[in-house]
Amino acid sequence: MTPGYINKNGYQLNLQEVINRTVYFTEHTLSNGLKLILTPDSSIPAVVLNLCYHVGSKNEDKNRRGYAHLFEHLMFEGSTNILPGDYDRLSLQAGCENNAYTTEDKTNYYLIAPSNQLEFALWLESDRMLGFSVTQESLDVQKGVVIEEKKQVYDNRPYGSVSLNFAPLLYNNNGYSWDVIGDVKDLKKATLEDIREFYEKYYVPNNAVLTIAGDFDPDDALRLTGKYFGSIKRGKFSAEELSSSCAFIDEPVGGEVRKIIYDDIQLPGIFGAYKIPKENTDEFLAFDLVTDILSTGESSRLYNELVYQKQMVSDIGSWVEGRELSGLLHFYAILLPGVKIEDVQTEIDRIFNDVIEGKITGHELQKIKNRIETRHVYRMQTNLAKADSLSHFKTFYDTPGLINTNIERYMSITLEDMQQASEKYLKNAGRVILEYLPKSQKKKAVKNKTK
Amino acid sequence: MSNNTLAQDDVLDRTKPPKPGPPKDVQFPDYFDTTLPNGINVLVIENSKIPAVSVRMVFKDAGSFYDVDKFGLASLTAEMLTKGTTNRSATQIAEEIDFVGGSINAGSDWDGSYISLSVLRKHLNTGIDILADVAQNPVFADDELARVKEQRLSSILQGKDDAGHLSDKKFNKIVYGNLPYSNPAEGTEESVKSISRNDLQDFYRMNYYSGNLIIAFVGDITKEEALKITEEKFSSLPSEGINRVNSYKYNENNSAGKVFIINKKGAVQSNLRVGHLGIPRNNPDFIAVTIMNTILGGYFGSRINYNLREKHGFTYGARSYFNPHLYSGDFSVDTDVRNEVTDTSVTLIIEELKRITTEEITDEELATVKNYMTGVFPLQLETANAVASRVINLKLYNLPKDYYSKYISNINALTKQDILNAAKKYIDPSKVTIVVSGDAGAIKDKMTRFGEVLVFDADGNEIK
Repeated sequence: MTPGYINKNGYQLNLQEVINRTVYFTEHTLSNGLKLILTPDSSIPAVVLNLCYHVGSKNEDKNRRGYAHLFEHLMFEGSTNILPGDYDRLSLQAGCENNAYTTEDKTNYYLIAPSNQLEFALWLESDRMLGFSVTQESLDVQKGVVIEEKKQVYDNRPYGSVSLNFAPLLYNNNGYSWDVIGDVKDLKKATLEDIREFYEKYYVPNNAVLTIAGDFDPDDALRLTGKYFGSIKRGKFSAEELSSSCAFIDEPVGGEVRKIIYDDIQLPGIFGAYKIPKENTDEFLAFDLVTDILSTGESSRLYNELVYQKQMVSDIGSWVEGRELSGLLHFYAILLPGVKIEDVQTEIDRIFNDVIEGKITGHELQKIKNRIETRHVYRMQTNLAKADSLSHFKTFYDTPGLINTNIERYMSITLEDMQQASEKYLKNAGRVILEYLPKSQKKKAVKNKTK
Repeated sequence: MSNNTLAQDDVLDRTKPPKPGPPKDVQFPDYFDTTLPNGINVLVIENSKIPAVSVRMVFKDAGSFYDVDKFGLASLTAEMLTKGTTNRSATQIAEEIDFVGGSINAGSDWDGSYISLSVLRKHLNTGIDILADVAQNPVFADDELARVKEQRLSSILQGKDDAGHLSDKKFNKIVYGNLPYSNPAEGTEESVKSISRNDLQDFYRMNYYSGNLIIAFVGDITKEEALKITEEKFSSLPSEGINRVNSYKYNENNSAGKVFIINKKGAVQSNLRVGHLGIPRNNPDFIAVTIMNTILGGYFGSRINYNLREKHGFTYGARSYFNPHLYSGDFSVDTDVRNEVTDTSVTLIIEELKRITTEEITDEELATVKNYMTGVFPLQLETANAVASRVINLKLYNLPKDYYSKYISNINALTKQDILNAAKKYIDPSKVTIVVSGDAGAIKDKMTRFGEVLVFDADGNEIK
């Protein structure tokens, strides 16, 4: 850290005053390739196991969309020594909390146990890496659950289908061309053989990172992890082979792609996305600041101008979505009654254009760096959040220390960095725009046509 | 960087769970609690784990319950606090708090009105100045009110798209009868349009006073600092609210045995509520009821979730809730199921209600829920703000001071008979009201077996 550093724009930033709470951790690798991170913190008598498998929906075949997430459900349905239903039953009996989530790039499981149940937790979690024993009955039930999940989260919710519509328009024929939830037709035809194949390929120690955070003795944790995970066999493929086997060929969005969706909604909405560099690049971080300047807090540009001053929209937002192989800059607005989509679009484009032309001020940059600092401090509050970040940074960048050093990267971003990135990736760039309109307008459109 | 000394599967018995070590004692953290002569209750939950402070102002028993016929008044009043004071415009407030990376939020629920500040310790003075200003000097300007009302009307409009929101609204309306909880806290198009600056000023004078104010200082701050700040910055509120009246009495509704469908044509799922009136938060049986409900439908391993999700795959999830307020509460089973199994799901839910009210739970169910509640209790104390929420609840709902220090031992003292008694006393399967947001065309006929079916549109009007 450079004390009293003055950036290119002459805006004084005293980096010594920036708060940094170091998260201390150690890294280990078992002989079967499982990567282990230990980060002790005895504030409360609980311990978090966070297990991240480097497999997500982008690893799926084109006709097996949604299998990574379906698989996440099936991991709770029994393994070599655990009967169907017992993962949850035993975990609750031991006073544990558990859950999991799937993204395009990873499938992440966690188990939070009272600290006297560390060995139990390692036993329970290791068994489902040890061996597959899902039954046809479990597969059938979980297909039903996942299909209802899709209905509840995507189909039966206002504007819920945004990500389903975006994926194929943003990405051309690669693993990001469909949403994590997948396709109901593909899900329905999943067989036990498909599922076993997926398991044997990806659910192996050399494709996983385990982080243990909380109240434990590091020597005990190391010994017990070795005891329960150490004898699990390596997979057929190396982690490198697995990630390179998933070829990623992508093309820019050609011009402006627009789609109109008639939904069960009262107020029209506009949803847009640009492609930007992937997560963890300097440019991605710069865009993270740009989108905060645009829409975080009531004094942000989009909120202040379009919600407050001009009263055109009821909600507005802009944010970055980082993935292993790509990044997206999103924006959206829900319109107030009587406002036209094209008018809101014009305003948003004008504000984006100001960013491209370098009209962000040093004051705004400082404001958003203060916001980043607060967010950084609050993120370190729980062991689950720490473990999730450490596993993530280890899985994708082999650098768990990013949990500590990313804040300095944010603090060194300049106005030029943001302007240059915006000019390169937003100016006259291809983008996808989804217009969500009330179904009642569709009837009108059809009527007009028949006339 | 490596550890590979222990590949010992030959001696490792994986068939049985390893035994736990001795459990560690969990203590509810100490906190400072005093009431000043002007009536302000100051709480300090000190924790220097992160260099940040939250200050949470709670006006007790001063929420939407007092909207009377101006539905939405409490929440609009709270929202308007940050939209201009005698010293700062709305834009200045937003700019000043955003600049230090902090946040100030104001809102209300049925039981109170709230203003909270969250800021890094090094910016505490700036944050406190703004918080004290918005709490004590709001102007409720007409032009700002017009903006906030416009936003509120659009969110009321959007609420008509949300199946869960429509079900909740209808369910509350029926179950709570003539209690204020039956009204929509966010307001209706009509009520919001009718609310004026005078209404907000009256509500503010009635409900924002030092005698019902709790200020909780949370995080990296000492009690000396907290007391000094309270005395210097928060002394200008009056000690009494003007014209406060609470004269509500509950009359039992007679909607049991009826089915209310809010029609959402083309919906691919039915959003269900099955339930009746519940209990207020300070009911002495609350812990027994919570444990009973956890087994019934309160967690992933509950009977209802197991039955509807894990056994039948009808839904992504099903839960039951005792949702408590200061003066009353409700009980409901909530789920989203596919259209074809809407009636079957209701039958399964009612069977579970009958079972929990007639049969003792098993030893394993009781042991599991006790272990689970004990095991996750520390997680509820991991952040200073989580602790603060619990301490504030003690005050807001008039709970005994030792409630949380005895919480685990009270849970562990419960017997199967206690659980059965709680179920018999607080759940009555014959009195449930059934509400469904879904495609009436697809489900109406099947639902007639539960009683008379009434169909409504998203505005609450009956469709004949």
